[in-house]
Amino acid sequence: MELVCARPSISSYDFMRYLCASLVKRSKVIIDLDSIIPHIYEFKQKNEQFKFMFEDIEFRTSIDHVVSNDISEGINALQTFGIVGKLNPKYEKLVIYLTEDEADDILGKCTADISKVMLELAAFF
Amino acid sequence: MGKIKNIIESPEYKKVENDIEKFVKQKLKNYVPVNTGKKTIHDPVWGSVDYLDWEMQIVDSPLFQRLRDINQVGLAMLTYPAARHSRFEHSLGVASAVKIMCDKIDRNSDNFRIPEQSRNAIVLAALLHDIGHCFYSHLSETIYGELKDFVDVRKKFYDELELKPKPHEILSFMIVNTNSFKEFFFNYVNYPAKGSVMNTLFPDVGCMIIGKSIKKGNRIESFQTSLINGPFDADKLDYIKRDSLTAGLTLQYDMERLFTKIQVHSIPSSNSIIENRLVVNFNGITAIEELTFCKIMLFSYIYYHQKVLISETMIKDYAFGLYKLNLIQTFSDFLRYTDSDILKLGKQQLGQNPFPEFGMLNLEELAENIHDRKLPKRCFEVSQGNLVAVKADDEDARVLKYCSDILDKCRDDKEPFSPEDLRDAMLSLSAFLMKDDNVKLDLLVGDLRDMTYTEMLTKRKEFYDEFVKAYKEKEKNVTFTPFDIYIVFPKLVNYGAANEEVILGKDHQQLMTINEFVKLDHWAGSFNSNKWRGYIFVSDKIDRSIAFEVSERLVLKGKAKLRNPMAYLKGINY
Repeated sequence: MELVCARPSISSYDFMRYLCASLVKRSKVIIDLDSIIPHIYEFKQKNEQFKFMFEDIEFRTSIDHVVSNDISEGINALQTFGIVGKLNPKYEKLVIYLTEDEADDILGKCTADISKVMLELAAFF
Repeated sequence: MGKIKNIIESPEYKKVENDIEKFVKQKLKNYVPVNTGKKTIHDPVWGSVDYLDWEMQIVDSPLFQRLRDINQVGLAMLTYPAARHSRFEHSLGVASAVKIMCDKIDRNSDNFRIPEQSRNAIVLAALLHDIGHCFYSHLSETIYGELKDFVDVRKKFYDELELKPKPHEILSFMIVNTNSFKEFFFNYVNYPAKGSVMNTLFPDVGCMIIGKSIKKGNRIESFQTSLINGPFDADKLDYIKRDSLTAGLTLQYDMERLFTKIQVHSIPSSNSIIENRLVVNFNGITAIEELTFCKIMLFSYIYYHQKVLISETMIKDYAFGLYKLNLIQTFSDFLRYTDSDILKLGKQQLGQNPFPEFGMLNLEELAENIHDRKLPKRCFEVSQGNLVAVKADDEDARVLKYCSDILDKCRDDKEPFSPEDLRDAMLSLSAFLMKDDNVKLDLLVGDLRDMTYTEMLTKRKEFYDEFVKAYKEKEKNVTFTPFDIYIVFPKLVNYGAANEEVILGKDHQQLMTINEFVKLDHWAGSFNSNKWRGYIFVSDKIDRSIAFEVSERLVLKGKAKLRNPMAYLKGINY
């Protein structure tokens, strides 16, 4: 039997990586942590045509609030793997440690369409 | 309900529904439950617990009894010998926990009582929440969760509900919504007032299992789902106690405090929808912290123990080999095998090679090695903390240029920077400059993480080719295949919903997130960033000193070296 392994076209971790790289390309290396999930959710709601990019990201909405464990965990993963840090002690800001070259390398690994969308999303911040 | 119907009627779901139906039908064939009345079951975690007659009719069914042969923590028993408890007692435990939580909610909540009908549905969901688990529990999920047919079904759940249920949750949902299960239940089980819930009970139970809130008229009963699949659900309360108890780890959380502080809080909105949400009074935040800490410890010391990881990786080879040889044909076939019979399936290999392009994979030998605990050994280990950057000669100059470029952007940017922004920028520059050993692990191991099985096979072949070159340089004979090399880069720990608004403030009105109180997500993230490890293992057919040398070169790519590897890698000449 042929073995075909499948997975979402973009993992939640890769999504956050590409976003961080795009933010660096837009010269945004310090981001309010609290703004990340609402911005991404708003972008998703306004851009139905890019729904495929959010396949691995679950949002839980209640009456007045949106959360995403996948985005939070993606940020923690980026921290584990050295791409971002959080400013102590209030953890209000996310600092992206990528250089421009490293950002280019990361974005070079995704398609031009995805790269373009990520740069649009980065503009939301 | 419309969205659930869309999922059930979709072609992706229909394609596999028949197989699940056949499985359930076969399991429940000839089973007619008797009314044994209420029973008391003794449990090391919850004490003596009463189960009603209808609950026992579910528990006594062959479909539920099957869970006795599925280890709760997979192959952790190879490292923690007493960790042999099964999904059976865990499911009973979750039902016990949920009953206690329902009682406490009724006692603690302002003007809210759980209707009897809802309570029964919650207990039913608790009993059945793991009914879809297969051999070795979460381990088999990582296998069939990659098969295309399954991924298509999961995508349907996402498209309709924007939820990403775990693979076993989807199988549990499918099982409880089969006609065979519903017929068995409504014909034979003495469930209270079942006639009034025939059309809604199992879609609701399925929703609770997969984490979707239930909407009834103008009310969103999210508390029901949160009790089964939420930030401090009954599932966590049970497995944290149970798994740590049997593994011999002394992990405690203040269960009593948590129980006295949970309640349901009604949240009105402008369009007259009310959400009944499960919350914790702010005084119970310490119990939540303890729960999260215990979960992190469990992952760190049990689930992600290096021997547990390698034994699970061996099972992946085994199970994908069975699939390739058609001995397992669809993802639903995984349901047919429990722990005691899966390792016997390899005997049917009869000399066939599942992956000829990668060398011979002897499934029977692999099963014996797992059974006899003949496990490969670590030859390489990497983490953010044990890396030292190998700097290029012009590294310092490049770092300074990077900092200078940021400052230029600060000056030239069209939008004015506030003094606070500039202060933050300077702080980040200082942090960057101070990180002498800064090497981004992601840039080294990004291609080794989150691989599908087929990608992993290709990567192992790359490692194998380099191992063979090194062997030839040292004029040694090659007796190994790519299947003697294991690349194990585990996923990160899932902390739970630190950003959900589930903490009720002093005024009993305002809701806050856990993070607003205790920065849970952040300290847990920092802790985990120091605990994560990626490994290369090799079988005893490979010289581990050569394997270390080659692995270091392939993984670190000349950009970093390991800090003191001999502290944790035994038997390697370095």
